[in-house]
Amino acid sequence: MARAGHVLSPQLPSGVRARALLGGLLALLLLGPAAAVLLIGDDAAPPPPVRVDEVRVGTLPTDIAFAQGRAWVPSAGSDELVAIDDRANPARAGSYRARSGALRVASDGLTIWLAGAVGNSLTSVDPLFGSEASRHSIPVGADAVDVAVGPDAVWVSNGSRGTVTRVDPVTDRALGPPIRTGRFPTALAVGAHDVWVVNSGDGTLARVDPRENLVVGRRVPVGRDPQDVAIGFGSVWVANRGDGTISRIAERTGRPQASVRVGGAPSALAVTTDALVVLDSERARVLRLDPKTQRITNVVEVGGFPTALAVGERPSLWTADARRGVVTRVSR
Amino acid sequence: MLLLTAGCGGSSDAVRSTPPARATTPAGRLDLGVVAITARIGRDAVESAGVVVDSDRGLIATTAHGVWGARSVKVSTGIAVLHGRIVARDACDDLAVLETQPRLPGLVAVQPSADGTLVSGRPIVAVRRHSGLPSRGPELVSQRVTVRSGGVRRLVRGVRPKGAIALTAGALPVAASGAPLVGADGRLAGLALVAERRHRTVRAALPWGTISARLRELRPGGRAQYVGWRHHYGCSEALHRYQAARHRGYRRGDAQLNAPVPATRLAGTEDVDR
Repeated sequence: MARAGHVLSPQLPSGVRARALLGGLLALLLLGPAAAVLLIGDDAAPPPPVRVDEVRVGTLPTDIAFAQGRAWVPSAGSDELVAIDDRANPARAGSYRARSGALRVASDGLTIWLAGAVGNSLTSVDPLFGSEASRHSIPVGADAVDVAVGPDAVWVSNGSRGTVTRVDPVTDRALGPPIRTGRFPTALAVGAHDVWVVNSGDGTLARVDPRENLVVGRRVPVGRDPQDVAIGFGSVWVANRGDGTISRIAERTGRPQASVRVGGAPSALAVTTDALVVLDSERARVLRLDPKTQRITNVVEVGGFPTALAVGERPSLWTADARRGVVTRVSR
Repeated sequence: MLLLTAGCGGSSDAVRSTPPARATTPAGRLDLGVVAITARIGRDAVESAGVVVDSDRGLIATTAHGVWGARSVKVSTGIAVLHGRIVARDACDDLAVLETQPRLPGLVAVQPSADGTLVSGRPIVAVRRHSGLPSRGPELVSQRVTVRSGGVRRLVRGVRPKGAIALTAGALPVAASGAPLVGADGRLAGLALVAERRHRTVRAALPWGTISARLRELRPGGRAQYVGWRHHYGCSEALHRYQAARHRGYRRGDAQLNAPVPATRLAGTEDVDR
């Protein structure tokens, strides 16, 4: 079910203004420095309107990815992959039965890759065809906890086995033996040169060279119970749910640069043009981390049980609330 | 609820929170609190059971021998099938704690009985569920069992859980190991321990009072979520032998938590060939 968008503007009742201010903060995040000058430099200028849309996606949405003008959301409870048209009024456009459990999703812009806990396989969905024939199951021989897509490979973290598996997106086959990275690799991200893997079981970050399928150097200790990793601004960022910190590691050298305390339980990350966005699943809020000053700003409180965070194309910010089974898009 | 929408006059009405209706009845709470565990040990898929002890953090209590040396742990719950991560284990008490991955709302911790003890002769019920995705027909299986007087000499060779009591349970299968034992009041009284020993099956019960005392000893560690119990590596040799005798392809290394991962290329060579 889709919700029509709502525009927050200064003409709204006074009770809305505080939230409009929050919307302004979000606009700062999405629009960058130009909007900041506009908002801060002129007190009389109203904050730009922010539009909020909600789409019901099923039971327990757990992740968000974008491909072919749509947001793709796996729903763990209903074991389906739901497509949402990312248009002016976002609407549910269809769904695919995952059949392997649907927990994490990634995309290269064309194909959707789905990781779940049923079976030991990865599922690829090509939405161009929109039929059962477009769904392929790729055995990986181990758990498929998270998935990330690079220019020439799809990477899967294998959880209890402590490895990551490389999958060839052309032949839909696992390439080479699994690469051991540490205890319970939970999330991974593909950078310009390397694949970065966070091991939540031992609180470390491993760097995999995709040319040789080898772990490079020692694993970098991060915080406790790391849950997500993102790459941006020349750094690798790790969200440590167990101690409420964000670890910053130099992408080029792999050396720790900083640990930023954000509080709560940071569990998901996304990168915009000018900031790192952090989802605090404990306090149900979205934070903005300025990569230059490392200053934290509270962007919006989302409530519910947020499980996923993504930055869309409009630009827009997407979150998934597993408790209500709703995906929310916040845009200009 | 998204605060931005709260001020948008009625936008919050259209997408309402679905109340967890199942959690309001005892049966519904059990459905959301009892899990099936499928562990890949060696080349075998080992089925066992478990019970949610912390719904906010997705923590599940089960038996250690059901997940010892697992290279894959899947947790079938009443809401979805999730990955399981071993966060603590104690071979001597045959106890392990798993955490679901990812952490999701909807699980319900089964309420423990007031005294946490098992009374000899009083019938109780062992509850487990079938593995797999929810909504595929009846998933919970219950079986009446009776606690006998007297302790258990040993569960498997070298493992004698403290406080374990013998259980009379005709056909309680090995897959019921870790199943919560529930009294007539619907509250958790203990955990079933079922293990095979020389072509016969040993069935015992661990009172919830013993388990909760052990759970209180758990403390988060510096890097991993928990450092585990004091007896983290105690009795591990016994479980190594037990798993090696039953599961082809079992490797000791798979049971080593926090095993070092050596670098396969030296640091400082990142820019070579680049």
